[in-house]
Amino acid sequence: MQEYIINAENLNKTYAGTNIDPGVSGLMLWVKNIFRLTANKSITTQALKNVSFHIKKGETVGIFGANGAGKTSLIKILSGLLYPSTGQLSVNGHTSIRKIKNNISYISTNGWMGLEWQLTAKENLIYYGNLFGMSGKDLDKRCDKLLDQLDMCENGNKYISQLSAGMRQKITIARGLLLDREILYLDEPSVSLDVNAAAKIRQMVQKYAVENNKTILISSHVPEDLANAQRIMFLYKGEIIALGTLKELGKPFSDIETISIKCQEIEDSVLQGLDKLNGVMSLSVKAIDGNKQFNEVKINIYKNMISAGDVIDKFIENDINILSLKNQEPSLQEIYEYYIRRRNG
Amino acid sequence: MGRLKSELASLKMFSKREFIIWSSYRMNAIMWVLDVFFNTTIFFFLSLVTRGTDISFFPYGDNYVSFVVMGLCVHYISYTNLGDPFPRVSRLYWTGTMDLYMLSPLSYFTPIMGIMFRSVIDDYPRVILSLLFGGVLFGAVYRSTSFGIALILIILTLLSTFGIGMISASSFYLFNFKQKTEPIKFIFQGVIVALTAGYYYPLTTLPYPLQVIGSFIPHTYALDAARRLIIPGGDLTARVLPLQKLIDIPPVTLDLWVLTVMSFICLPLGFFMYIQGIKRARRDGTLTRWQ
Repeated sequence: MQEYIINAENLNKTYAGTNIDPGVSGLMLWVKNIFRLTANKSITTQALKNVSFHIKKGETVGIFGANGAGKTSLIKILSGLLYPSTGQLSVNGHTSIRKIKNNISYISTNGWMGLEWQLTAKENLIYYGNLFGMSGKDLDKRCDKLLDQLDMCENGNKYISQLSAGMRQKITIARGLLLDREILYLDEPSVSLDVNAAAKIRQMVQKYAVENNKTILISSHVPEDLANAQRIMFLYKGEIIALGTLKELGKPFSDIETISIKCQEIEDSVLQGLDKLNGVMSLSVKAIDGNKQFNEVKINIYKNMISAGDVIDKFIENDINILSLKNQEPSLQEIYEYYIRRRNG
Repeated sequence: MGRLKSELASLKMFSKREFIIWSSYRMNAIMWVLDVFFNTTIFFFLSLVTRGTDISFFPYGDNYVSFVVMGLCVHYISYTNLGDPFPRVSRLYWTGTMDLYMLSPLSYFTPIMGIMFRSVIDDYPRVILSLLFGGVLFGAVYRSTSFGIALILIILTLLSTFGIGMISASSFYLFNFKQKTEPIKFIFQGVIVALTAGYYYPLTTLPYPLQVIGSFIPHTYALDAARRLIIPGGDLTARVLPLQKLIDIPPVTLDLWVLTVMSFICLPLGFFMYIQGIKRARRDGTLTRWQ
């Protein structure tokens, strides 16, 4: 008589299309069921919950999420800097941390960014290159090239303490690009940069990725940072709530129209009335240039339930002067919020 | 072998960087020399008090300046090795550089030893300056017959105190001591060493229980051996330390054996605890301040 109904030992499971050998699957990175627990005295928080995804070689993937969503925790786990509580991870076919870290370059712009403020910008790059076994004229040339690409040639001999926050950030980015690694992780790459500098860095990183067939993972809460991402992952409270191309993510919005109305001061009761209209999905208001007498109202409506005309009628009924009106594509932030609402029921 | 070569190259690179930083403070060198000079001078004046009295430093000769210069030398070496690893780990944590080092191919210990170099270039040469000031200006005398054994003594002192330093450094992550100081370093350096090492007075002047406590730190044996070997008139046979009274072998030999045992215990223990601390930080997400 058999003692057990089920007896399983040494089971292996290979998911279709997720063979960890990149030569076979073309996958640069895959992650399965990653959990991460952080403990703060008596409170245990799940920083990442059951995170699973994969990335193909040469792909650029964005992680979008609010502060505290788990973006940095996830990137640190993928870098081997943090241990997941449970879960499996393979990077370029490697599962051991020692091998994983030899395949990645991690650009973090948090805190002091690990720059040595008593050294010059170029000395910092050379020092970092030395740490990773680079040296000599090749390293020197590569540092100069990167400083040039980032418009930092004139500041190369300045001490880190003499550089602005944005310039320091450029140096951390140059430092990450110094290593010729298969995968580049960028954590909040534009956090201290002005619009032009951020755009230039996006362009530069993208060019580098395309020319060298590099895989890139960018985490940010700034939608513009993810403009070049082929796929975007929405992270919310440590969970992936959606993952796909922008087109795929925006699919639920195919039935939704976003109307942006600039108008004079609008009372809360009118806004509440608008919000309760059948077919209005969501609504947001902000003062124009900080002047409360002029507002911009953004309304998402279900096309098959209500028309833009019906909404405008409500404004007219309440004697609110409309200054301008336009239809808009939903922003990444709005799509993200939609998935949060859907996840929260 | 290739790995060792790479680690040594990295240490050289760290040393170079630390030297650039150290030498960038121009007043540093002048203040550094003056500091050693005044330290030695203070003890010269103190030695004047002992002159003409029958105060005995037995078995360490009868020259108080020589006695104290030896104390200062051991202090400079051990202070760096025991006291420096903790603040260095703390610096890596607060500046976020620990993340960088953990991503690099370096071993866990290379960055710590590398960034300790600033203290090494600051503290170790003080030994030579102290010997020089003491000898040339203040009448300290040394005998040069046992410098070979003295070298072994220095190495063992360096290793054993660095082991305790690594235990202290590991507490940063392992026991989450993220303040400016931590209990292990405070107890060893601030209490036991300060009170019982005998930098400025012979250990035999202390009450016996304190002498016993002093038996558990490497400084006691380093000082005992150094003074017997280097100060003229130092007695190589008289047993004065509690352990020397218990074990029947020549005192300097016993000192060297104890230091060897302490090195073999403290160094691997310190490294092991430090690795455990790093692992804990990787689990808890506390490798650096910036998450």
